[in-house]
Amino acid sequence: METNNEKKWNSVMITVLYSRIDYVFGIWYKPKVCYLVIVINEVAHGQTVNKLVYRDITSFNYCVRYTNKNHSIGCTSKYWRNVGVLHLVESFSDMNKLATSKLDIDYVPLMTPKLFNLDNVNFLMSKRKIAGIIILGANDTASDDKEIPDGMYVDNSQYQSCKRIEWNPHGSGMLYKSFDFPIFRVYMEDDIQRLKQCYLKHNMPTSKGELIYPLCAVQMGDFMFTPSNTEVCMRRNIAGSLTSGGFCDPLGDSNVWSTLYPMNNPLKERELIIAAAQLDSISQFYNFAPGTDNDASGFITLLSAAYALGKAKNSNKLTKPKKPIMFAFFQGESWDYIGSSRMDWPANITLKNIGQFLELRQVGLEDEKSLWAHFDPSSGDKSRNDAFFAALVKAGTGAGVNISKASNDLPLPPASVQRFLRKDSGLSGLVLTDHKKNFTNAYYNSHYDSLNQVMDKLSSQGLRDPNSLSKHLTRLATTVARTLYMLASDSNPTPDLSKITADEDMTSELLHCFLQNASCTLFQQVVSNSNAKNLPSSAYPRMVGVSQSPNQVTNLTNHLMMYFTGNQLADVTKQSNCKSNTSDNSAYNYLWFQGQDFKNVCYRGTVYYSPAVSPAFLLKDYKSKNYSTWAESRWQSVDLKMFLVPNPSLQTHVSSDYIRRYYRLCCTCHMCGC
Amino acid sequence: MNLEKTTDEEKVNVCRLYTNPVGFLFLPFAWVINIVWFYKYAFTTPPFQGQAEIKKYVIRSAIGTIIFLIAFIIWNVEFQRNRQSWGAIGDTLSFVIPKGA
Repeated sequence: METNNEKKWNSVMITVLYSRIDYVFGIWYKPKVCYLVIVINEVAHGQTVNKLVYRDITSFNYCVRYTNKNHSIGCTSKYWRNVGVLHLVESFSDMNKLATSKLDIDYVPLMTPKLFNLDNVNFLMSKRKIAGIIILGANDTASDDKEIPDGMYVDNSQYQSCKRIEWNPHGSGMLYKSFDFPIFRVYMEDDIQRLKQCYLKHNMPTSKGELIYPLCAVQMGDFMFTPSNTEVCMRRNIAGSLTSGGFCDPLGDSNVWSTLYPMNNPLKERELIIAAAQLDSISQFYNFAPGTDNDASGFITLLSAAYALGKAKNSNKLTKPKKPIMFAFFQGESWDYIGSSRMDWPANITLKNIGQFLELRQVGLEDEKSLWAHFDPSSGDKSRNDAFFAALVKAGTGAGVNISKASNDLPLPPASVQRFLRKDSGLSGLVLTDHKKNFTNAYYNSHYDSLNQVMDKLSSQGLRDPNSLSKHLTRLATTVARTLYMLASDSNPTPDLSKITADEDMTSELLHCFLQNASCTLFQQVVSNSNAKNLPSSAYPRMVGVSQSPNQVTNLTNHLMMYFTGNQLADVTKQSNCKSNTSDNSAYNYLWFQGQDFKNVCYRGTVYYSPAVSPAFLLKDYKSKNYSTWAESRWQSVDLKMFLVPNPSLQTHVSSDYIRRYYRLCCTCHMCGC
Repeated sequence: MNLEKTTDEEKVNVCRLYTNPVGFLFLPFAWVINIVWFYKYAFTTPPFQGQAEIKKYVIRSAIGTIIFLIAFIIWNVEFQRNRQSWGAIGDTLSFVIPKGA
């Protein structure tokens, strides 16, 4: 395979023909002659010139552009793509060499993950024209998010100044920077070696420190359509819809919420008990946000807790508690809380009905061998908060989870509940995390927040068992399920908590399905048999995406909640009958999927979607102070190609960019053979 | 219409018509056509009844064309330069909005 390509790359045919004609006609005729050579070659060999000139690099993640009310973040290339000469940066001395290079050309640094941080990138940008950055592989280093994620304290002078907490001291804020060049992360070893070899073969300076053409270069295409901010973009979406197509789309998807039992009666004040988690994560690279500790640990724990409660309910081991229990999964929380700021409650619920709100955020690790309960210092009823915490500690003790209370004067860490407390400070909001103060997870909102990384961290905390994460989350799921039931039954009747226990097999299956392989047994069970074939053997990306295309993670969460907390209707055997009939309570939803024995079954339950698109886009208030205005740019194609670039003096007499592209292509045919 | 075969009177009428009002309709193309058609009769052919009038209309067409072209070019340059900073108005006036920032 490799040798065959090598032959094409060094096409003898082209070299011989071209060098002779070149000799006769001289430089001025090169373009025309080159086209002739191209035509001859196409006819004779049936291979495209594109393949001869360019080497495609296909295994990469890329950085795209997002906008909000003020600015844009992320990356974009120029329309005609960016071209730069490769320069390997594996150490600080390499970086200095690049900074002091005498050649005035555009560079593309090939950086190791360790050196790829904001300081180094800024240093290189200040010294050189950077046409793009390629990161080689991925092993370690830093969080992309800024140091203090925004929340309810934005307008609070006290917490904005002296009491301001740097939750994420590892954060570089790179995620929120705007770059006018593409940043790609190449991850396959083959492609990494190809880039390195090309650099070593062509771009090493001579003993005098000079570079000799042709040089190994890359062309990076990552052109983003969106203008400078969301307001302009949404305006142009309409103004240019006929001739220019769309420029950007609002971020968003759907929230999933469900209740353990149908909620028929009107709710009393402060009666509802909510357990919530977020479904999405972000990183600097598009659709590459493993978010294992960030969001997966929380929503998988919550799913596992729902499974425990649903199983106990359906086997009639539970008496229906006095108060209703609700599960909520919010989407788009990473982008200034899209899901929780939108949450459309059903008509019979207002914020006044919410008593306790338990949120799980970053619960995969531990800090000082404990998990930490955070309350907002200025909201909630003191006695209700204390009872809430006491119930959690009691359940935790029973399940083997240490839970401590974070310092009273700390504000809440970033959490969805902040959006509800902003509107109604009467409810008791508890955020359960794995950090006492600063984040334990050094990879908050970064593509390094992977399953392996969390496992490594756990083993460094003394948990060497390979199942440590699923064991930890299972214990926590038991804790959460029992806490909810305790709160809901209000100790009357005194609940028998031992009947509610989370299942470790289920937790590890959920981890496997969401983080490694979506075509797992559990996911197959909760989709219809035609959809089961479409499940990929990799993890579904958990970035929220745009509202036009439904997020599969949301869908699967909805189906799983139905599977866990709903009832199978044994007498329904046809998909067309799997819907509410008139005599039924219309509050139910129905789903048709394969089920435990893969026989296609009908499930009925109280599981719902609610839209998770920021209210700013409903109100058309793209300068909104209160709501998220994040939108994702559209783009057409993203590509990375490696080629040899000839001496610029051969290119200078062609001024137009467009012609130069083709001219370069021609020159390169010649140089390929050199 | 073959101008060679029309009467002088008719030529004057057509020329006047093409200067005003038709000339204002397809700025500045009708004026340019007017100049091309009648330049010969206004300046190079032997004098005839109404030639002075045709000359007047051709010159007016030429002046109109030049003024219009200057205005058009100035507008175009200003529009292209300021389209971004005009905000919503700039976008509404654009037929094709370029992609990117």
